[in-house]
Amino acid sequence: MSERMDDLTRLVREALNRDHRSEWDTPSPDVWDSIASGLQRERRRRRLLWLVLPGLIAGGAILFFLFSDQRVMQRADETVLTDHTDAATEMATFPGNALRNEEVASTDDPAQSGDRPASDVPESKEDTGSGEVLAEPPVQTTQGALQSRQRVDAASLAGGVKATETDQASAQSTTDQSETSGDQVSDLQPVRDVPVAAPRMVAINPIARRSVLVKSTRALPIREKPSSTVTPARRWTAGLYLAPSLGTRHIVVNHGHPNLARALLKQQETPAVRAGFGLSAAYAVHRRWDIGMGIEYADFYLRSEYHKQIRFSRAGETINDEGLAESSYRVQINSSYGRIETDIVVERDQDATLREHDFIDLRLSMDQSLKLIRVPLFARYHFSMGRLRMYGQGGLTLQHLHQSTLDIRAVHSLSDQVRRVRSAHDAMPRGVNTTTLGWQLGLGVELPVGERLSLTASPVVSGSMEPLYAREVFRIFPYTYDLRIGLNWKF
Amino acid sequence: MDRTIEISKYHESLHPDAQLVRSCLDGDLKSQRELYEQYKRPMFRLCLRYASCRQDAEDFLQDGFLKVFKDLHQYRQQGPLGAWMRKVMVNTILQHFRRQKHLFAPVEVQSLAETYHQDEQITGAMDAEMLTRYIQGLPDGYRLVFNMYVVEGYTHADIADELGISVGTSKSQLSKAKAMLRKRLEGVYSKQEIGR
Repeated sequence: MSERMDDLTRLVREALNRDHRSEWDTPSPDVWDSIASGLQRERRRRRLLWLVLPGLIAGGAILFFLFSDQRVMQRADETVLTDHTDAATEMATFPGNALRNEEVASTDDPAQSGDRPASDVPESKEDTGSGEVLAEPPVQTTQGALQSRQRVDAASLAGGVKATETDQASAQSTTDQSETSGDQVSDLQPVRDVPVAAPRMVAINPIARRSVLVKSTRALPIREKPSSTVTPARRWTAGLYLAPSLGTRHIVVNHGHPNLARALLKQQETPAVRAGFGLSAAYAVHRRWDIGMGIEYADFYLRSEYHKQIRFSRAGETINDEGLAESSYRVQINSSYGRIETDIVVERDQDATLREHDFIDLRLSMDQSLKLIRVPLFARYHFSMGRLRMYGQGGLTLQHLHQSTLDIRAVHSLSDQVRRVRSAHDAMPRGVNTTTLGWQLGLGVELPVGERLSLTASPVVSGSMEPLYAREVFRIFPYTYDLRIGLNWKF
Repeated sequence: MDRTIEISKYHESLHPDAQLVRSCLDGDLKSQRELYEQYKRPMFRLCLRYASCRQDAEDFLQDGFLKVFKDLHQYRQQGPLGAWMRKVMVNTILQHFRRQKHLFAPVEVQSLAETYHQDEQITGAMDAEMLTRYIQGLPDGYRLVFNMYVVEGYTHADIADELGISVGTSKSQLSKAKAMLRKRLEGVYSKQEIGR
């Protein structure tokens, strides 16, 4: 026995591989129930994630691009008082700025403006004699010191292009002097501070604006005139696009909980052939924001098949012109684009035997042509990514669904007793021939192919705010998604 | 074309569960139930060995299968599905034990005595059920290391790595587990011999 026990590992493995008595290794049925409910919870969580994730990504992207501007400006503030020569040169050499600088010099006279007296101006280290002033190191960030320097500098800029050329020469001489005198270069720089009128130049000249963003001092009230209010050169954009549909889906809201039902109604429907196009016009209200409206047209062709069952009743039978006994039955058909109610008429020979309440199986084929006219009102946010221009847009739509043709054919199961089954001509769909309010969300990319022309591609989801069908706790909202490809023209 | 079909058949023969796995990945609850029914018993036996009681084993089984269905897309069909599931199941159980703080605390003599199932009526040859019950009677740390080393085939280095303990601890836990189990089994076989 002890010998057997020495090889415990072998004994255990053999015992575990031996045939097992029934039931002891069978878990209770509750385990599967728990697993199934866990799987359902996981599915719900994933669906929720897929709903929330795009929203978070879109929100994050918007925040990122909104705050990216502020980060650029903050970085610009950190580079205060460095390399001002180029900025001054750009401003002074830009056509028209010399004249404006003269105006600036005349209006910004310290005596007229009521600023602090000239005695508050910090003494310059050295005057080069050509309007060039060497000032205190950049640690001076008080309002008075900067304004004083700005006043002096504005006067020097009044000389225009000529002054700039001499400034560059004097800047070079100042650097040389710094090196020879042993002063720290960083503490003694040629000041070409932005004149007080610089913010005004922002609106005139994009080059000057850039200079202010990068070269400005902390004390200048740049934020009072944020760059976002700069108007684009071309405000209007017209677009033309084709919108081949990718499909129609439904959001089922059950007891207030939305659920993306993929194939609830599509089970009996073959894919609808659809083509559409649209026109849009947008107006830039901001450097990154456009608002606009458009008109879209889409043509649908929907073929679908449904199985229905009716129970024969003699109660409402009448004799028609052909001498056949005729009875009609109300049938509802739910399609992806609305509910159709029609009367199915059963015609039988009067001598044919058909028992009361016999079931008649029907196969209904429905061909439906629909036209959709949609007027979207949208806001669009865009930003550049290399050569491409990306945008996201969303808004409300007014949509009118119009049915042009509807053809319902019925095939029945009782060929011996029933002569014919047909749909009455007064079939009336619900959910069509009505105008409803909807929403639209989309992303897009724009590729410029010329100064004004660009190509666009944009996946767009459009949905209805009004349910297609509504019961007490159960509502179905249809939505469509399509890929739009088109052209934009700026003017 | 024929060759493609042959290869496909060969692949199917190697992985008879391939279709079932695909259905499970599509989220088909019926297929998931089928997979569960097919593997519930071997997986439950595994869970029983690691658990101290049947209730804990069912909890392990439930967590393990949820993990299996969640990670099924990671199964590359490069080996039997059962082996992959077994690995997932063991990892799930180990994860449970890693959360326990005093898993390898010294076991007192008194508590060792309490772990024996003295009221067991041993009537036949030792089978898996009986052995499993003895293994279940081991303290958690002993049982865990014993299962990993003896049944799953882990090395002491692997066990130390998986459980965050030293190799020496792993060896001592295994040694004590074997001693305890041996003592119990010797008693059982003695009873049988006496009975004859």
